[in-house]
Amino acid sequence: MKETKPFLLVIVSIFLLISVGLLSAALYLYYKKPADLSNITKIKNPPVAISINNTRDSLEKIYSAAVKDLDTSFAATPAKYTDTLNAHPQYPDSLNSKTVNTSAAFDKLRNEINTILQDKSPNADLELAKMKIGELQALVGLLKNKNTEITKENERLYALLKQLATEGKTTDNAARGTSIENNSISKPATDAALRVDNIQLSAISGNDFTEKETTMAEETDKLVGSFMVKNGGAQNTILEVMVVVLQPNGKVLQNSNWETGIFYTKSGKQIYSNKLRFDNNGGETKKLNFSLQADKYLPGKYTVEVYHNGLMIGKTTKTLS
Amino acid sequence: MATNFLKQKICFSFLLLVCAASLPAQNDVKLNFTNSRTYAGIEVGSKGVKMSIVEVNKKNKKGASFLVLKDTAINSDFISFSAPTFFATLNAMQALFDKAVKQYEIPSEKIFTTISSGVKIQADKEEKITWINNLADSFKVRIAEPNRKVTIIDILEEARLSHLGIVPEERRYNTFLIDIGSGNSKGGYFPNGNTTDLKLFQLGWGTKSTNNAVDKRCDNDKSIQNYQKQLTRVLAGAVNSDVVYAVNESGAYAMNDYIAFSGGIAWSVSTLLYPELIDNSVVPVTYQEVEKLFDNLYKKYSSFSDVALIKNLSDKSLDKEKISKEIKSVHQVFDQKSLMAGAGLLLKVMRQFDGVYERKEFYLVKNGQVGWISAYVTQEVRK
Repeated sequence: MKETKPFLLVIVSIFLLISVGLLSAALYLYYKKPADLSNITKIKNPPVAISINNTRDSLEKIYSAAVKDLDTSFAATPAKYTDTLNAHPQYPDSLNSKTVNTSAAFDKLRNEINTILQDKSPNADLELAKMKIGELQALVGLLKNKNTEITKENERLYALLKQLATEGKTTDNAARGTSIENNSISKPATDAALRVDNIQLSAISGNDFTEKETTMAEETDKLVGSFMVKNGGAQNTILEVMVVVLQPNGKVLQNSNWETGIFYTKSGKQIYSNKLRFDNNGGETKKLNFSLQADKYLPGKYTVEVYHNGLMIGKTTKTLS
Repeated sequence: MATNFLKQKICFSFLLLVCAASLPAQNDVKLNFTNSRTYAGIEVGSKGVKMSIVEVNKKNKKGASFLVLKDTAINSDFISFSAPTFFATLNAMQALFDKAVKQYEIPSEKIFTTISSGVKIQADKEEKITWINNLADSFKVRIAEPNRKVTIIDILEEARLSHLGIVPEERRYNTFLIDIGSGNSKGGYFPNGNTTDLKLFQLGWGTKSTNNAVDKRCDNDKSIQNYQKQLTRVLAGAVNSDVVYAVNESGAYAMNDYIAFSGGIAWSVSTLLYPELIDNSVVPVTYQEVEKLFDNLYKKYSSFSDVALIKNLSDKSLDKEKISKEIKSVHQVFDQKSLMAGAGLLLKVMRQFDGVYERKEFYLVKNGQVGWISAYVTQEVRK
């Protein structure tokens, strides 16, 4: 019989030794786990200089991570992003001012934290730094959310503009947007992308020297109107827009015969009250005015329609009692 | 002699009958201005005698303005310079004068009598100027007013007064007015910012003369196809060169924004193009619109009948009977060929102002015939 048992005994002994080693290592790791950030302040009686330096280093890491996180969020400009916050400085809105305030607060916090962390003395108020870093992290979260919202809003507006441009080419139905006054609506006109805004109509009483606005049909001596027009199409051309003012009886209010005529829409011939021509210089916004005089003004609703290339690009109403 | 006298009497009686039939039973002149006065202007033209009743508003801030309330015409063909046409003209003048005094209650001193430039030009050509003097003297005797002024207007003054009478004051110095007549065309504009200096425009072509030239080329083939072919040649040949020369010589392109056309063809084209604007004395048009009408006059003439045009009117508030009557009047005055000739001539002139970079605005004036006499009345009133 061969001696196989000593071999078996050696193998078993080796496994046993390895098992004991592994068990010892596990026990060692269990009892010797590393201290985390939350335990920094709980360490009792550490060597003072080492403890402060460790805390400062940790705080610096957290602070750097927070700042880096914010920078990463703003580094890439969102798709189709336009600076909507600064595009209309004439309309200071709450969102804009809030952003400015948040930005100032962020800078202030950064300065304060930097000052504390750069203080290498043992008296440095790291507790305050920790608190401020917490505030900074909250602020970063707020700014990140705001950025996401703006990006989404821009994408939504861009999609809306694209849709309006498509609709303007295919149909002249339905209003696309609203202007500020007179219940007016406006929409882009076909390929020329002519837009009108802020269509206004006023009834005026009195003579050239004592004119005043009125709402009474009986007192009205003339109707005056205006609107803003902007063309994004071909430049350095003379453009024409037709103004149709419908009286309460449905008939077109006609000025002098020299100013009234006919143009063609998709639904056929249309009499206009006034034709306005203007130079289109570099897509700038222009204000166009018109004035209409009739023998008599009927009480009721007056409708102003603005046409370009046979398509209605704006509309408003005015009621005289 | 006695026979002649009898003929004159019969003629006079007939004219009076015609006038009486056309007159309403009462004074139907409705004033439009407050604080205004009514005047009458009687003009002897080449074709007949016209009377315009003009209301002048004296308190207008921009100066006296006027409104033509009525215009009446009696055909008498004075420029034939024959005894019957002489007396027909004389009788027409008297009939209209009486109408102004009795029916419209306009005092004699507010009735102005004139003889147009067309009559003067023809009389000069035929050395018949004494016929004009005799007509004026006879009229003074008839109405028993030996001191009455019967003014002979020259072509420059007539064109100047037409501009003043037709074009509104706010467009006075940037509008070129052309009257396309039957035998020729004339007009002008004010280049110097005053109403005394008129740059006169004259063209030896009118609706009738163009039609005659085409007719002459047609020989025995009187078909509309041949007429169209010959019209194209006439317009491209003599008419084109004369129009280009006259417009260039006038310098009107650079000096004006608006080009207005009056005369029979302007009235016809505007009526056929936009019958719904029947009450508008002036109709803005584009070159393309007139060009399309010109094509359709040849290709789809039936589409210009009163029935066809009325059928296309969707606005129920329009007076379709009145519009129909006006369209019929157009077809009574001009047949298809005359319309084609007139519209073709109109297009030729318009083409000179339809530039690539700067397009002028075109207007067709319907009541151009009362323009100068109305302005004459206004001018006399101001004196």
